Amino acid sequence: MKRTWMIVALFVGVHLAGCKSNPQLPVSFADHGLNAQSGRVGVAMTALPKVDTAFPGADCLLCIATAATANSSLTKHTHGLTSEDLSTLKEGIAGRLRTKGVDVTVIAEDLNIKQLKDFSDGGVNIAKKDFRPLKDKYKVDRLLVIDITRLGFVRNYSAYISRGEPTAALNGTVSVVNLSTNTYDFFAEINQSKGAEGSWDEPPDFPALTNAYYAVVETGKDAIEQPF
Amino acid sequence: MKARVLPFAICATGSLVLAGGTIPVAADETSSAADLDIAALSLRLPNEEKVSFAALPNDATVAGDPGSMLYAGPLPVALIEVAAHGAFESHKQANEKKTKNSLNDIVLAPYQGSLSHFTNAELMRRALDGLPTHGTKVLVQYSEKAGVGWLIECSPRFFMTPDARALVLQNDIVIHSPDAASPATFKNVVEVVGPPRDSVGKDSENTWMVQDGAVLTGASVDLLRESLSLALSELRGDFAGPARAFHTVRYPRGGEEKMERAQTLRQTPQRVVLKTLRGWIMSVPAAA
Repeated sequence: MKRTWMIVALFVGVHLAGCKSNPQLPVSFADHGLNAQSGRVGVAMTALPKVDTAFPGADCLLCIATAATANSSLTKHTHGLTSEDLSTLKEGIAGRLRTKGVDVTVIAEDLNIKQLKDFSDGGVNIAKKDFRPLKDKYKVDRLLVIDITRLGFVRNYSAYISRGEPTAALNGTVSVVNLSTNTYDFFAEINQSKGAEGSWDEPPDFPALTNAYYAVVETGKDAIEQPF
Repeated sequence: MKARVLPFAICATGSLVLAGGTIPVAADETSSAADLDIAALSLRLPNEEKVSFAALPNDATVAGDPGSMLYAGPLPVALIEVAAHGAFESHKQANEKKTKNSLNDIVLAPYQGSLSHFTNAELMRRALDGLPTHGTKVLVQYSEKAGVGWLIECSPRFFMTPDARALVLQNDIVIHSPDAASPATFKNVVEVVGPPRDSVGKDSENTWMVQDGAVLTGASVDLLRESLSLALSELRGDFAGPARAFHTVRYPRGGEEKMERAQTLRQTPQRVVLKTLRGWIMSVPAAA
């Protein structure tokens, strides 16, 4: 009986923890966005992820192995794709902000969000990590953070069976954190995806999928730059 | 190879207007702006009598959502379940794809009357007449033996964008040198995306049909002429040179912005000529 209660408590605990880690909802700028009155703004970006394939829905070990084997040539090709077109993002946004009179500093190094301490005083539109120490480190009042978390191709699965064709994907977030209060002035998810035009299964070079990948990189750049 | 290309030496460089005064859009300078000095050129008709027209296929991918499935029972039963699951998914995805393209026929419906009279013989005769070559130009039947000189064989397929604002030509082109025994000196696909027509509201489809479809057929002729001209330019070595970097080129296709990862071979204010990841030659309208 005691054991049953422990299992129930664990189940409830896991669910409550899940509720606590609700994803951040979009936040729009309160006024007209960043401008000359926004103080010093740093533009930073996390390290770009490896361009890779993902097979959501292939969850069991054997399913993962099956999906990986079935798509091995695509994965091999994917590892050869570049993400260098995204390297101009920080400068691009900085240029746009400068035209609005914003005092911008481009943070050259990759930002490692995971290394930041958790921010305990949680609340609505407050960052879960403590960005405040970065105010002195980078000598800025606000930090514009570009965090691209997935880049490559996604093919959805249901156990061993693919549910469709692979699509090029770029996922991440773009946010502006007020480094005095650790609150979000702006937060948006970036989810871009595109399939191949025509046939996708053309190993070893997958030209249609490769084209879709670079198109997604472009539309991702557009989506990240557009709010600024 | 080079020696065979030499007879294509350029006589003079000029410009050719793609619109030819027939398309109700801004005049669009062709990307292959050169006159070709070819003593004799034959263009072989394809086997099909009518010009191939279709709506551009819907490029919305059937991607599905991640799912889960439990296969119960002993191993042989589980294997049967996996096979049945696979068959079910495959059938479902095929149906979904079919549904996405089910409205394609509607795009071309207003033009079928005019297109039903449009033959490859007319298309190719007009395209050949407009080719800027200085020698004789002959249209030969599919089964007819070609005369002396260069021979072009091609299979043009035209597509209309879903918004009916532009035509796209995909043309499989083979060019044989005057030395009949030699293998083809050019074999590639040339894709030409026409300039987008202005959006003209509810009557947009009818502007193709001015003068009983003359605008639509005229635009088709211009695209075919440009595709042949590009193939000859490639053959002549116009696009040779150090390897260019691949980059993403944006261009309008109808009212939509499209992107192509490609090497830029030639650029004018109106058009851009590309070599795509497939190795195709592609001519697209320059982005505004």
